[in-house]
Amino acid sequence: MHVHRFERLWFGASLVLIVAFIGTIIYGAVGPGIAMVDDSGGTVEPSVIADGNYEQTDNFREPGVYDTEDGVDVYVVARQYLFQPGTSEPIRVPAGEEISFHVTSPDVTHGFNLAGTNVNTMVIPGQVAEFSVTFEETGEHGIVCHEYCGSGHHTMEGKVVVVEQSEFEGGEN
Amino acid sequence: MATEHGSETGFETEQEYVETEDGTRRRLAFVDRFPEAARTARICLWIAFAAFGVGALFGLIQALHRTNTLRIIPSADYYTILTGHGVLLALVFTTFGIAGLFHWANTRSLGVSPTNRRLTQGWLWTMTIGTLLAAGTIVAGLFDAIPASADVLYTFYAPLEAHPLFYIGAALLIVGSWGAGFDWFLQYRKWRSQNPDARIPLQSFMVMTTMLMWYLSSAGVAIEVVFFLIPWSLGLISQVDPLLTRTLFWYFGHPVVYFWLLPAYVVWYTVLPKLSGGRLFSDPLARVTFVLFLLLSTPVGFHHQYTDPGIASGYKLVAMTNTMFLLLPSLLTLFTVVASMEHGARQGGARGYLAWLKDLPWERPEFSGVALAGIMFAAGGFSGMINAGMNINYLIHNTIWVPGHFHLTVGTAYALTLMAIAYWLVPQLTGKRLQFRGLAAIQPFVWFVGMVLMSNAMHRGGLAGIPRRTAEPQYDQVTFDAVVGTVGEMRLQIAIGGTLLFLGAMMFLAVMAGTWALGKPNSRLRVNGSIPEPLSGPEESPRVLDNLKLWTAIAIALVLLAYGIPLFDMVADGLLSPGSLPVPA
Amino acid sequence: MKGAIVVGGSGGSGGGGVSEPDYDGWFDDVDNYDGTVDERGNDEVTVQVGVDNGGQPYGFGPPAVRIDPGTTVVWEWTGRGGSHNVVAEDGSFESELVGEAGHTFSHTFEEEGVYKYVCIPHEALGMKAAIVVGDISGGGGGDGDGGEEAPAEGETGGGGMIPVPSDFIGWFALVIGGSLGVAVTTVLGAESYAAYRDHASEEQAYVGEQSTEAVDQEPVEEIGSEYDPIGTGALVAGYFVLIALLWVFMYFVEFIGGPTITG
Repeated sequence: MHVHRFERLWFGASLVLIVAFIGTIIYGAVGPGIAMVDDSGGTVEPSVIADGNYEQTDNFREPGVYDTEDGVDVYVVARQYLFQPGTSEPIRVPAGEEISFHVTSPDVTHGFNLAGTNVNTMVIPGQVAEFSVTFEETGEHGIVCHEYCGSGHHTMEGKVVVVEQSEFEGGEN
Repeated sequence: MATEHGSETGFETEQEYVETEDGTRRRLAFVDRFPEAARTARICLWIAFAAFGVGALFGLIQALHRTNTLRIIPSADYYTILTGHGVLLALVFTTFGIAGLFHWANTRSLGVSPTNRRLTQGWLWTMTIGTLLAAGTIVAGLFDAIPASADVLYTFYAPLEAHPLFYIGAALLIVGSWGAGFDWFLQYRKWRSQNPDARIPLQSFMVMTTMLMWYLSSAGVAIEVVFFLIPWSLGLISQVDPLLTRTLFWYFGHPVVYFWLLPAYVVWYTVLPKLSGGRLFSDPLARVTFVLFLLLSTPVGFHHQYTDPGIASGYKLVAMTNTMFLLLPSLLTLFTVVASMEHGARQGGARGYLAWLKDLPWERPEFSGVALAGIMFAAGGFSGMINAGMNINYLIHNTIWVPGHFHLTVGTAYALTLMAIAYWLVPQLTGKRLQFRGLAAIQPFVWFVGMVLMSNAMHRGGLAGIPRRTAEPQYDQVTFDAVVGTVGEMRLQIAIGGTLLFLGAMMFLAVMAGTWALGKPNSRLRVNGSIPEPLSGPEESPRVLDNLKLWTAIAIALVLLAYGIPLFDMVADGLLSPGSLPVPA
Repeated sequence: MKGAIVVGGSGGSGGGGVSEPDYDGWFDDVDNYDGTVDERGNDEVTVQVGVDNGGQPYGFGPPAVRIDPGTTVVWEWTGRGGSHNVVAEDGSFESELVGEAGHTFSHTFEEEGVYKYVCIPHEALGMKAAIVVGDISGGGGGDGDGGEEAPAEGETGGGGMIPVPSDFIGWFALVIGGSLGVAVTTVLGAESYAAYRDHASEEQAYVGEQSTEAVDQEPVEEIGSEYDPIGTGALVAGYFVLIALLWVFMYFVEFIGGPTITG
């Protein structure tokens, strides 16, 4: 099969590009440790969350911020059209510490994105999205629901407030 | 009048003429050779263009609404308009446009008429009825008096629930497209019986590989709709697993973008070289490209679910690797297509490294539109690489970057190519000369400028974290900090760009309507359908490239590898659980 | 979902003579508002939370109620439409955010006035209501919490919207878009007119031509398969460099600065 030498060169260059892309992505995961949201959060029946029977699950708790020995855990319920906590009162977390978020939905698919950052996950009924974030600096981050969830979707938003360790009240235990 | 036609390679060499009504001769056009197939292709294109007109209007309403420029609907109705825009353009305009184009391409390159008129009518009606049901249900959402709606967007994620007629309509559209593919395979079988040893003509080869990929991938959404969403919306089953149905959707949701794109590739490979005055650089590489798309398009769907909980990282990594290798056929296409254009320009006497670019026939809309679509696709290719970049994708997942990306791909690479090729093809399908050529000549540039404005702003907005699919530009608790530019300037560009795109769409429809209404049938045409032989023909390539059964088997094996275990995992905890009750949208 | 409560005036047990209070556009986007229900004379009044409002379960039922001062209003959750709360515009009462059917919240209104309240998550969907306390009528009436508060920025829903730009950018876009539209429409119109006028003569001229454009032009020089596409080589090399640089740029935007997800 006749392939022009320019074309062979370009074929080689394309392969180099592809391998370099894959390499940088894997480096991003291994080096800076940009991990994927995965199945570690487990599953939960949406009806249990809808009824507020959090004690019936072993991988989800009453929505709120918990300061435990293992670190800070934040349990968030995303529902039409609010984050709980997040919308009515901001999620307050300390700077410089690893925060584990656990997010789920009792009704429809939502999104959870700290605007302008890569803290970004889908919130799917039946699944608990679990991911960790370390905020190095104090400040505020807006939470946007980025998946269409009904006619009030554009009103679904919230806020994360990052405070100094000393100002962090510790939440519940 | 219809003559058996098609050389070994399927490229035309003969010159045939026909008498016109006024006594002069004109070149034999497609409509003279295959009047029946031309009629079918015409009907498909007219339906596609009608959907395009309505969808474009919905697009304008959105662009002005979400930039807060001009608001004629309440924000809650924005999502009805958005659903209509997505379904009419991404599902109806594409599927009918592709059916029309492929019906022409397959018939032309095989030189064999469609074999079964009833089958042709059957798929055409099935697709049309499906479209009317789905579109009708969506539009009903704008009227309180009609108790049906489908404000679920074109991705229709459960448990947001649409009226059952919406799902039934979507299913009929897909089933109809399967019938169309069957029609084209029967044509091929007839051709093969007459040409037992010939290589498959290139256009037909492309049509069939595309359809094989389509059969393999659309099975996912068909299962989702027929076995889960329709029974669920009718109340026969109470709940569905949102993650499972979503995964089935994205099993189909990425190959579908190649289903949109490959018709553009057919045009770029087979017609664009001729429009540039040259020949296709390499037939074998065109075949390799399409085989790679058949193999790799489907086992990549998880890259739409990089941020989904409930899917292990390993599966996402596999999808990422496959997706990156899917860049290969597109990068090869870039080279082959540009080299074919360069060949055309140099045959016209052009010199220099890049000076040949300006010698291309930019004043002819069929060329300029297709070429501009290709340029836009090169840009869209880059944002697609970022989308594919697993952890890099996290920054822009579900931001306005994503529509910025696919308005370059389906919204320009496909849409502008189809519009441009219509300027060349519709005369051959109707026997009418193209009207309003001046308008047609500037239309691709209007579209190009509009898309440059809108799309660059959308990409940059995505970097600032502005979400897609929202009626509102501003949030109370959230501020968007632009990395490049300012948010206000982006909004301005989106509003102006969207307006220009709408005007471009209307200009195109004016040309088409004018040609239909004012053009006289059986005129002498300004275009002809002959396609010159490639520089490097198929006879130089290994015959195994034409072994479609082999490639299909490998494609199925790759799909099983990528999807077998994850789907088993999702089903293992109960087919319908963890399950959600319907939430009417 | 919004609502309002009007607390009846001292003289007001009898009824007649009161007209609809001036709600100042509060109910413009509330589909299930159909006048103020007069409940004066009752000590306790129930309002349902989560009733049908324009086809969706985001409404208070009834959305507008008139009561006497000293009356207790009990809100009862229907369990439909997810979680709701009852929050006064002036902050005088606020319930928890709950979704379960049968949950109740109550507040006793002593002062005369119009008390507007909303369900915060669904306010943009018209889940608004009001309690009218006393004999407040339209026009004059001293309403409880003064004028209309500016609606939240994201909330522009509602039927009777006037389609005008809302800020400078909007006007600017409208003017530019408008002039571009006029320009293109002019070209389109002129072209259509010219095409229509010249239609017949052009057709005639074209038919009369001997040579046909439909034949492909012969190449100036026939170039075979052995040519080197140097221009293409240059272009794809440029593209290669460009996407490599953009990739690096994205890498920096992504990973430098700001919080980062770590699994």
